[in-house]
Amino acid sequence: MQEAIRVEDLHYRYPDGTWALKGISLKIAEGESVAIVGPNGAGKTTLLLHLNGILSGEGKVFVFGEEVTKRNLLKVRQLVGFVFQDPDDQLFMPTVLEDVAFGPLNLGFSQDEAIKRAIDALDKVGMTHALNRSPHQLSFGERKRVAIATVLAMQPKVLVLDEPTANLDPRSRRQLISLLNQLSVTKVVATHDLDAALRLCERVVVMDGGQVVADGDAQSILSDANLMEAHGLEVPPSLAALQTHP
Amino acid sequence: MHIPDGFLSNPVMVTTNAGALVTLGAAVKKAKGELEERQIPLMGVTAAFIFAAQMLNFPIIGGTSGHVLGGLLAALLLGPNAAVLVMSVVLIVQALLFNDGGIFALGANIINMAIIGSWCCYWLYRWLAKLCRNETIAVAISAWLSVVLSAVACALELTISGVVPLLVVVPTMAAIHAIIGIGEALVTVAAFAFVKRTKPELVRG
Amino acid sequence: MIDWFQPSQSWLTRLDSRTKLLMFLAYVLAVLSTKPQMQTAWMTLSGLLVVMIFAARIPLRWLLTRFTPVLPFIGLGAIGLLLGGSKETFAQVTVKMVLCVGAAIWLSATTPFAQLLDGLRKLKVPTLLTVMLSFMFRYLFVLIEEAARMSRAYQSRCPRKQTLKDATNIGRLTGALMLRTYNRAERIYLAMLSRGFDGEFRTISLQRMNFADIALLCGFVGLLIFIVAAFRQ
Repeated sequence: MQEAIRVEDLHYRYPDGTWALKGISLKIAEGESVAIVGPNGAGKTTLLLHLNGILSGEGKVFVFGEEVTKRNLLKVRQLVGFVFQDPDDQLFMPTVLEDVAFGPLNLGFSQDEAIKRAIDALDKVGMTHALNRSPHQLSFGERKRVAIATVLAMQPKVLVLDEPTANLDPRSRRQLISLLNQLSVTKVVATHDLDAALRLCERVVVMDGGQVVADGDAQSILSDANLMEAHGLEVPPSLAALQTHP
Repeated sequence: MHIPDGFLSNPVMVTTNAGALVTLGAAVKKAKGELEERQIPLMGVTAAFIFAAQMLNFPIIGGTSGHVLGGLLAALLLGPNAAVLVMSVVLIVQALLFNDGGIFALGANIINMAIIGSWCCYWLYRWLAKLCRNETIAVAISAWLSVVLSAVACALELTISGVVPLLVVVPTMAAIHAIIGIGEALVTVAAFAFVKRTKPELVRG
Repeated sequence: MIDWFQPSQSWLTRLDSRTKLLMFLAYVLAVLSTKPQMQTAWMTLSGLLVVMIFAARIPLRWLLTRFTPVLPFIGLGAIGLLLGGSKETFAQVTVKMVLCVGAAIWLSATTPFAQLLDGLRKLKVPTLLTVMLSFMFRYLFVLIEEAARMSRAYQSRCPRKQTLKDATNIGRLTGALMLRTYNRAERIYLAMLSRGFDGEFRTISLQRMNFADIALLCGFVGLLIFIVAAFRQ
């Protein structure tokens, strides 16, 4: 199994001087689903933004063995697809089709090929009927799915998701989790929704204060009440139920 | 006021369109040279912001309410050349999407609100700021003038087109907009101060 | 909001946006070239507009609401008339406005904005402008929503009758809205970078001028030239 992501001693400082990441080291194998959890300000999003070269700090980030530098950003961004928290930030074109075709066009594909990939991606998320619609005509849940399609159209090997279930109603949330579970890519998911983390990922990394404080099996980490509370989290309801009703 | 198609006489329409085209062309050229890549989405979304801000009404007298133009504010935030483009885009979308303002009348509307109301009044603000050494007063006066001058320009275009007499329309438009301009001044001063206080690096004007 | 922009679909909607844009421009040029005394020409042009509106299946109520911005100017024309202007001038200006704005409404009704943008790109409008138009259109409703939300929150804390002094508070709201706009633009830029954006704006174009477009365009322009030339007095 190839190594999809390797982060070596990553440090990152904000422009105002505060350290957001204080020495993160991480290895993610191809096919793994890893949840990154932690309190607000732990540095989760900052870490994620290093994985596709948006941010670059001190230390190294490797994507499928290649170090992320200023020279291979296009390749990295094809391999590592980033789904942002707010779909309105990710859907910036007048129509759905134009949005989903944006990525493939930047990768150099012809219009016909880009459209074909776009339709394939929309099919994977069940939104082909919305091809010619404008994003503002779609519901929030639909926009979330199209946002994922915009990334899938580039056929990435790693999918990075920042708070994918935020603001979703229960049904859309279930649909999204089910959709993500059907995708066979490596997944890195930053989330406050610990229940979703449990359903999506077999491994959990806990971050706090810019550092990794725990890394291991999802069930064991998330059911460790002391660990969870020490880092501003809590045992997710589904696991808590198991604990009180053995 | 957004002049619709069919109101202006042909000579006025042709002249204003020619003038606006030349100016826009220059603004596009300049902007391409000055702009960083990351500012282009900002300019587009700022156009949407200006439109939305224009929908925030403030009451004037009795039951009437006015709304801001935002021309000077756009110039203070993005710089005068970018602001001309932003205000022009706002006018184009208002014409195409809402039929508010004519398409052949875009030249006149762009001259009034984007060029006079934004670009010219920005440089007026810079001059005033140096003159009276008080930025707030300079912003207030320039914002007020941006509304009044664009209204007077509009009135002149209407009157040269021969529909309404000069001595009636110019003073009336000027008087009405002199009052609306007070609102513009207050809003622009407050908005600018707010942005300067919370995120000074955002200000490019 | 969408119904407000696209109240109906017709065979005209499927045509290339360049066709409709050029038809609109030709129509307005014809109206502006028609002299006041060419009565037959005016009537024919009005009749033509009615046919266009019918062909586009534009609902009457929607049509009338889109005429609202013209009313103050008809009022201005009336004031000009009352102050000693000629009846001919008033009639002429009013008819010209109604026809031109009617044609613009026809263009809006038959051409979705995204389609119109594509047409503008193909007509070599500078990329900087079309990109700005694209972003403005996309985020128009997002920003109106945000402005409305902030305004409602303000008004719910402000139960007294509002005065001009509230303008300062609205100014602060506007400033806050600008900050949110700026932050959003930053995030949009990051999203663009994440999908491989390198400085060049690339998009697709689904339209093509085919025989129907060219035939309609030529026929329409030909008709207009005939109307303006033949009914010259």
